Amino acid sequence: MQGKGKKAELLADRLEIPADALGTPKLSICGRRRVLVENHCGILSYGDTMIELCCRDMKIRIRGDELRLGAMDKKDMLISGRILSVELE
Amino acid sequence: MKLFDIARGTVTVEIRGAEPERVLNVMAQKGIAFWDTSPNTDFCIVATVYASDYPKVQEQNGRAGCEVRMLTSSGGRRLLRSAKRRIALLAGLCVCTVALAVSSLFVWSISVTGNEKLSDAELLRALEEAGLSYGTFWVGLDTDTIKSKLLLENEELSWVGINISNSHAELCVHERVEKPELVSEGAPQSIYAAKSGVITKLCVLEGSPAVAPGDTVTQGELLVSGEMLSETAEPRYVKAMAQAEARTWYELTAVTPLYEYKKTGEDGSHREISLMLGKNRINFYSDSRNLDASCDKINKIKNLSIGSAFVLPLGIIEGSTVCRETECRRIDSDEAAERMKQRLIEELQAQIGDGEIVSYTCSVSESDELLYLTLRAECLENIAISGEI
Repeated sequence: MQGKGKKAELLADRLEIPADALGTPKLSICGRRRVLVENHCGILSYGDTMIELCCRDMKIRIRGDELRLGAMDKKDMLISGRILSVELE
Repeated sequence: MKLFDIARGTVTVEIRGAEPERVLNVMAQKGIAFWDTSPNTDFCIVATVYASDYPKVQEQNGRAGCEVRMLTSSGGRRLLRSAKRRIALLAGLCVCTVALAVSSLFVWSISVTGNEKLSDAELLRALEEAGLSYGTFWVGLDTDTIKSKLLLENEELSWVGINISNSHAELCVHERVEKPELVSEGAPQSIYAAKSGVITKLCVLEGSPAVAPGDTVTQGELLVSGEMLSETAEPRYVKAMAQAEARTWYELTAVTPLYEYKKTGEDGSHREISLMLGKNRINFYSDSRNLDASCDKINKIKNLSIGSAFVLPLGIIEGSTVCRETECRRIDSDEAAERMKQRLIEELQAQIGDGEIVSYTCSVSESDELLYLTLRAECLENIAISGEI
């Protein structure tokens, strides 16, 4: 999985196209209240203070207060609440 | 969106198990929309899905070590089933909706803006004559023709705009501004005294002065002539221009009654209710006349409306008549004199324009239950006025 993700990023760099077009996760943070995650692979844990997501070759951990899963589909996920930190692992 | 949810029907599901997040992942993968998800507490997540998607969610029951069960269900077929038992209510709702839709095609309220000289009543009458009034079917109404008729019939108007939004019509008008008298720039003119007084300063820019500072002039007397005499040639005619500052005197008098009738305690009151149905009015009382002069009658008109656009042809007129006892009292002379003095000074200032009130005296007298106040003032003002030679 890790190799596939890196290859995709390298290919995107070579072709000078946005990496998220090839499935690389993309995070958009809107102020302190919203985070939009694109190209996720699913939710690992969902709590009031932490939401953990799986994204191809990494894990994304969003910490905060009163976190809620606003909407979710196959690729995108909207998280709302008071965002304190976003960790990539 | 809420209405759409109610129409489709929603189900609140509880997902309980070791990893209820896995069920959410499966739902997202299968394209099942869900919202209002609560965080995982005690191995349990609560989410809301559309009723039509519930069977797909139910398929996950027992899978991934999770149990899925319905908590509540609302809207959709459930709503339809309960509605079947209330046919009369539904029929009433449908009739109301249709009535509302149909009534919105007629004008039930008209507002007028932009008028100063013409009253609202005059404009509404003119608008009615032009073809737009209460109860007019506005769909297909030719507002351009109405505007043209209004402009043709009312010379005081220079521009008319008609905006119709559902049952509400707005008439915007611009009144005609009187064209000032045009005087040819080169036409010969003289300067005359607009008021009687003693000239204190005369500043002549063009023309031949007929008076000098210190002279007493009467109203209409020639101050600067536009005829320029020459010893060697024919007289030359010019447009005289000058400023003539003069001391002027005024005497203004104001009168007020010494006794006034004042309404004191409440002597009785009653309310009258009427129903306004389109253009018609249904009174729920016999006599609406205000027979006693000491009674105050106030009518409050309440139009039923949904927002500002949907005005219904229904309204309630609430009239309240309050009768009061009247008492004849002598007014405070000093207070009345001070009030009259202020009014006279304002009136004088309006008469002299940019001029200055140098000094004034006031005298107060009483006769025949009337209070007289006479203001005598000395002013300094420009009395020059142009006129034909």
